[in-house]
Amino acid sequence: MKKVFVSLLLIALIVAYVWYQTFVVSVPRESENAAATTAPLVPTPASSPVVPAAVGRYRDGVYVGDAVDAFYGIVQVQVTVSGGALTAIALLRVPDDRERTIAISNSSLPILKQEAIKAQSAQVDIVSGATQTSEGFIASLASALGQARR
Amino acid sequence: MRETHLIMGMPIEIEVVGDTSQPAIEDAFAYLAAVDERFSTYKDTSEIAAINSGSATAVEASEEMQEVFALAEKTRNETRGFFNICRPDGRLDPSGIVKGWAVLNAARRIAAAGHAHFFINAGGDVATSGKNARGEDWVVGVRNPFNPEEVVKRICPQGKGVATSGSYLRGAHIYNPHNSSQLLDEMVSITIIGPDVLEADRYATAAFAMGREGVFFIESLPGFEAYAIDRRGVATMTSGFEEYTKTCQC
Repeated sequence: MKKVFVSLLLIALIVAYVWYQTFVVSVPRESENAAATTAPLVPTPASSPVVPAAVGRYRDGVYVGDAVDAFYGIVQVQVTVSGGALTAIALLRVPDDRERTIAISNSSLPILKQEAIKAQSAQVDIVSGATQTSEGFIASLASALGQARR
Repeated sequence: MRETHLIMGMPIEIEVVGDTSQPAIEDAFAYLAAVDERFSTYKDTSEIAAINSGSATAVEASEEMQEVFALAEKTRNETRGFFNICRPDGRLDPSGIVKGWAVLNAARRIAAAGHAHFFINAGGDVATSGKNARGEDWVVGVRNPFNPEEVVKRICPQGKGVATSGSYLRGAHIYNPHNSSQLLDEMVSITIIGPDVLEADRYATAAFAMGREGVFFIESLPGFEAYAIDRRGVATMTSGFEEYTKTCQC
């Protein structure tokens, strides 16, 4: 009976973990110092809460993020969600309107290309991903559930 | 001939093109198993465990151990301390660098045995040489951190090393040495292309520990490219990364 209970508990944990990975991981979360260090390169989350907790997915639409003072200029992005997935990110404002600012933004933090990841053809010889071990999976599960409780 | 063994707690895959390659593959696996015996922090009988328990000293360590410690120290200096084998509990865990180092050495052994076309993949640290069995460039896929069955990028490393560091399956196995309580959950994986698999591996570990800064750190390094994926599924790539996705003859 105890074994059955433990098995059920494990299954419940795994289901919760999968749910967490599928629906919660993609929720944007504002980093406290994002504006100071990384805002021009990292699209900021849209200003309205895009993910009702009960549903757990992005709602379709176009969302304009807050204009964020990135110390050397203002950054603002727009994201497009369709079919529940993030499909486009546009930089509406980047700190390049003054020569001095251009010099700073080019020398200190280059603008790097970003894209929403999407599945490619599986025709590869080798796959590179982070190491996976069973003990690690359990540790990951525990940490994910810890965050999900918040 | 392709074979997979479970060593260092992860699947290690080796393919040597051609059918006379069995001894080279066996030799490479035997070498990797010996490295695991010496460096595994999970094995009580390993040299690193003896050093950590105080029954052996780092000063009297084997040549291989000294080499790895020296590499770790070099990497710590080059990455502003973001790579550090000293854990918060004071123990030494060189596993962040041993894997890439071991794969590079195993690849050299296969090459020394006269093989030009092969690859080794140790838990995402990839060394390639020559062409695949169809005579085409080796294609390395970047695993989707949110779906291990999927590949989200195809890279032709052209002989360069590839390594991926991330937190998605192992939990927070990499942390910021400058602030061990900081959760590195903003970035979920970073894939590095470097001059060889050891270089790619040591910078992958350090760049991942830097969080969002990591990809910019790699951008500043000549000879390195990166593809970093954050928890929203948005990837940031260094300016030369796409050269390795366009040149595939496949």
